[in-house]
Amino acid sequence: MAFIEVRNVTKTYKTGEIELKAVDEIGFGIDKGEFVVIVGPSGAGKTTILNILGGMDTATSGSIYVDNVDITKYNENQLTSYRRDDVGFVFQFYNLVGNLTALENVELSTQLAKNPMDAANVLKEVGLSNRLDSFPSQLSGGEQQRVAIARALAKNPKLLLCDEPTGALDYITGKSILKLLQDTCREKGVTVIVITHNTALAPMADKVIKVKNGRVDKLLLNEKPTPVEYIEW
Amino acid sequence: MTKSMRKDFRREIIRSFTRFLSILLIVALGVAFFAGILSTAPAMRASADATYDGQNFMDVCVAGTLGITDRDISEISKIGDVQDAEGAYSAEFLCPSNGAQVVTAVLSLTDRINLVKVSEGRFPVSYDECIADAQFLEKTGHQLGDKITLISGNSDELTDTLATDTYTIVGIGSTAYYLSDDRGNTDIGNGIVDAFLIIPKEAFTLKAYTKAFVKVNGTDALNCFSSKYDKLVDNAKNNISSIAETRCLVRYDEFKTESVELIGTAQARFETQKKRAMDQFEQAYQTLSDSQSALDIVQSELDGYQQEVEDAKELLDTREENIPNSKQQLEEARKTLAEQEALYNTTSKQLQNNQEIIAKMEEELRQNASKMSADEYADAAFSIYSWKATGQFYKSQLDAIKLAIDQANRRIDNAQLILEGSPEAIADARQKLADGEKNIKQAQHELNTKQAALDKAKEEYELSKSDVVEELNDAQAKLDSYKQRIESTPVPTWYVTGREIVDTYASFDNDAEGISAIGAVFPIIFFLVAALVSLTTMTRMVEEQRLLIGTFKALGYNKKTITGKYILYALFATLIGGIVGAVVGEALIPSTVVQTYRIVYMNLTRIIVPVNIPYAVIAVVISLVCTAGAAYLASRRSLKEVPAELMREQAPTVGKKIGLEKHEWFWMRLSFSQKAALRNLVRYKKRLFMTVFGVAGCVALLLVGFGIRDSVSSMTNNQFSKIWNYQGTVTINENITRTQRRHLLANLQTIEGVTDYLQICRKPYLALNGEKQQDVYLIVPQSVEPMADYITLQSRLGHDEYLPTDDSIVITEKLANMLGASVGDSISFKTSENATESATVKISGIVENYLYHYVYMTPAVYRNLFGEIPNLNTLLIRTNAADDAALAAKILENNEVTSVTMNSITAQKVSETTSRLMIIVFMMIGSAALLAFVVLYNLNNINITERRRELATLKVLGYRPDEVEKYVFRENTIMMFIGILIGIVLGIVLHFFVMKSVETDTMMFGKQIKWYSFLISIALTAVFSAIVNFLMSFKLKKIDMIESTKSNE
Repeated sequence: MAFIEVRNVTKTYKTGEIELKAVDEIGFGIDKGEFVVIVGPSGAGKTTILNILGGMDTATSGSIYVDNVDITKYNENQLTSYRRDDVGFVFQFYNLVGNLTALENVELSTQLAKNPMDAANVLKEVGLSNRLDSFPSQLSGGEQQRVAIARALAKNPKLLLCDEPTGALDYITGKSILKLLQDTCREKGVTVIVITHNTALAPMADKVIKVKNGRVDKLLLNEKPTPVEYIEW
Repeated sequence: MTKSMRKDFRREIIRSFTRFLSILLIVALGVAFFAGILSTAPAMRASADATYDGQNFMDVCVAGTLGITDRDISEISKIGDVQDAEGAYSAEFLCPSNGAQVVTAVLSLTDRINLVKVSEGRFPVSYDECIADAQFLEKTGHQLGDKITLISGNSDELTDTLATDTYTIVGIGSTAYYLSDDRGNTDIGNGIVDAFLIIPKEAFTLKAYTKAFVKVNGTDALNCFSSKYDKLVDNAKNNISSIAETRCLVRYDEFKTESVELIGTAQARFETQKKRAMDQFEQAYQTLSDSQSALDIVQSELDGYQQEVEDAKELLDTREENIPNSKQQLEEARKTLAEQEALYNTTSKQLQNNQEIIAKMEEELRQNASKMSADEYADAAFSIYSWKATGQFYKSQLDAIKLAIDQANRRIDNAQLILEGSPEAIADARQKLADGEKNIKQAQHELNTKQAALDKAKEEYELSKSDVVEELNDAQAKLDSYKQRIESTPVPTWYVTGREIVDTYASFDNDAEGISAIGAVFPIIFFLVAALVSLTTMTRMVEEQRLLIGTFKALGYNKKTITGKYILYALFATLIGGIVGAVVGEALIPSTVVQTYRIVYMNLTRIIVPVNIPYAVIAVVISLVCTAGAAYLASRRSLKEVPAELMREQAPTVGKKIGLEKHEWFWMRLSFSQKAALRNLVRYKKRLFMTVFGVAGCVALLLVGFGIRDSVSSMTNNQFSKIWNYQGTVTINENITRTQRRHLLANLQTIEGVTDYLQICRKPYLALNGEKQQDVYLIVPQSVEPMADYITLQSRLGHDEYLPTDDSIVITEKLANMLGASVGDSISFKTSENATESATVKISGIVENYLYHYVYMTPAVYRNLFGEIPNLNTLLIRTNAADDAALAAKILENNEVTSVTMNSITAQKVSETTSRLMIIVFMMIGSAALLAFVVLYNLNNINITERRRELATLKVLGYRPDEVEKYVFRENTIMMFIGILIGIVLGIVLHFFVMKSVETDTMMFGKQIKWYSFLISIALTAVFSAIVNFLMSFKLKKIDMIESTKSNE
């Protein structure tokens, strides 16, 4: 069994009388240490998949095994522990706490985790050794996203979930963030799942999952992923 | 506004209905408190005015020092602005019941002015029927239909004033003259009127009315507490005063004729009194002389027996040799017999003489009695009694002589017997010897008893002799001073006063003023909160809708239309809230407060809650300005930006280092979430300020509420345990004789439980310092030294002890404040409003006291000021009895006692009364809770809404619900802490202010709040805040993590 097994997962949203299937009988597997890109147009159900994978939302039916445990069976508490110990999140809009410095934002997650890394070290690793005491408002977008990545990595997660991590960034900064993610995956062996609507990013992944109308349209494997520096879009 | 804008507006209200409702409710609350409390004093005054009008209450009261005649009344009626005038009588008497004497004001039933309301029974029709007030029934235990008897409380006869002393209670009623249970003061009994009776005018036998009640034209339409009313009444008072001089001269002429009659009555009364005293004296004398003669008789009996025994002995022992002796004895006895018979004749003659003299003297005394002074009279009576005594002596002598004659006869018989020498005679002599010895023993015993009786009679006689002389002297002095008073009565004056002479009129106004003072503070707190909360809410709303504003602007809507939406939203919520608040507040708060005051002013028969549109309008307008202004300012700021900027997410408030971070040793010790909390406080200053304000307000309101209770209870505690060290007050009949007083005091010492007593004179007076005057009690102890054991006379702050001296007095603290007098100043006194003022006397000390005003002075100072010896009409007693009520009842068994008041019982009653204050305390707790909830809920709500994304992110990061709560509520805890500290300071200040303004003229409250009240206030605030946090935790749970993935909208 793969490290992550998604089996027949369906998510139905109900708004009044209208039922909307955001994800429809979807299924795929992801191996440990893989760099996965989930790609698809707006409204295809990418974010829903990510939310369910990250324990932020629950599936209507189907099951998801992470490290051989079915997280769809988890209750509220178990899901919280799962998010706390196993998952790192990177958001499109960074979601840093404006009132805390870069270091303190990282501490926000290290103080929870079972086996955290040193907050300052992680920030050094993401290239922010001289901005430890800066507040988010004093940082550029790329720097903020680096803090966010550091915050996600610092707790030694089993998997790193990134929702349009470059969506709010310019081309060059976006590229450097993607490189950071790719390097992290390669060097630390963390399973990284990136969601994007940008198909140009597909070649950098080990595995590409193309989503369309809530279903897996195509599943591609790159034998030799292209380093992000060589990708243009 | 376009159609789609209108649609947007309508939907906006429905969509954000909680926000709409929160503005509406806060405004409603603020307006309700503001308009409601401000309307309370007017409602109280309107209610009192309606009650007065309902009983056609007088506007002006005219009292004359020699009364008011029917002619006076008709002259007053002729004055232009006088609508009506009616004469009335009033007097105070005692009504004995259950051993106590209830001080009763007896008023005449009026026809047109000062109408009486009968709640049960009917109006009196006959001169011996009366209406009683509820207090009379309560204090005497009488019921409707009972017959009651009144007695005079001073030396004047009841029949001088009233036609009869016995009345049947036919009705229970009340009058607007007494709104509360305060019935005013008098100079009989213990000085405090307990109750009143109303009797028909014809039951009074006075030559003139005591008062005239006057209604002034056009006053019914005005509120009697208004300045317009005062002006109208002042005018009428001036006009009445202008005819006073003429009327008083007329009255004076009449009085001169009356005075002859008055003096005659007084003289006759004195004669009766004199006769009674002499009778008492005579009785004592009679007992004395009776005892003396009884003793004399027994003595001579004894002598006779002794002679007999001796004779018999002689006969037996010396029969033979005594024959010649017997002859001699026979001769001697015959001689004695002759002598005694001669003596008998002389004494009889003397007795006859004596009787004639007595008869002559008695006749003389009878004829001259009225011309003689008390001393002369006593002397004359005295010599008669000595003559009588001499006569008595003669009588007993005669008896003795008779006995001697008998004896002499017996001796003659004896001697003859011996000479003749019969054996029967010997046996007879033996028998006589035995009998004689027995008789001697008996007589000796009787003699002793008689001697004791004589001694007692002598003692009693001596005492009654000095009592009678002193009592007669007192009576004589009283008669003289009465004559003097009548003869020197000056031309009368009129006292023309308004309703201010009615005690409850003034105290009610005072209470309404106190409410106004509270009304000036609390509604403003609520109003400020309401304004601030709606301001933040509106600002928040506009900020949330930046994007929408930008879109509207981009679509080409002008600023006015866009701003209009928010202003309209605010106006709508405020207007509805304001109207609801005004209606509910003005309807509910004033009537609740007036109802509460009716506990004290039970005769307030009408409750009027006038609609105060101005207050409602002011409140609503201010709210409108606040909320609409906030909406305008907030939307204005947003509209300054160009649409493109507005479409972008608003830059979040910048996080920055705060001052505390400079202190590294401190900052390093904090966890980062503590750091975040501190930074957040500085970051959201508006929220900090408002939360602190809300919590502080809550703590302050609670402190004031509990503080009021503390102040009042500490007042009773201080007064009844710390200041008054005696346990009871016994008032005694002012007119008791010295014998009766001696008797009472001796009796008192035998009552178990009474350990000690102090005789004092306790009298109500008016104390004056320049223009200022106050009702006070004068306390004059028999001697000053033991006073410190009964009353703690020391200053409140320095605990310096003071005692009155022979040239200075000691007064109580509140009195000093009210009179504006301090140590070294001099004040004067008078017995009543109309009396002449005494000389001034220096104040040497100001002492702690909470209830009523007291002036302590020595008997010497009293004599100097008032020219008379203080009447020791009161005893302060110290007791150690377990059951004070039983002790009081036992003391009351003494006829000389008119009332007994035990401090423990009064203290209990006072504390029952003050427990009513818990209503205010609950009101304060309620308001405080409302304030805390409104402010904390709203601010927390805004805070959480503003930080949804941050909190959602925390959840995504794996924060458990309790960890998220801690993260948010830590700030609340800090703010609450600051708020509590500020609230404590604010509460102490407010409490001081409130207590100052609710104090009445005769009461002083402690200004301290008890430590446990601080604890309760803080704890309650913490509970309120915990409840809000608890409610908020649901809101926190509801925050969806998906939120974190969205951008700020």
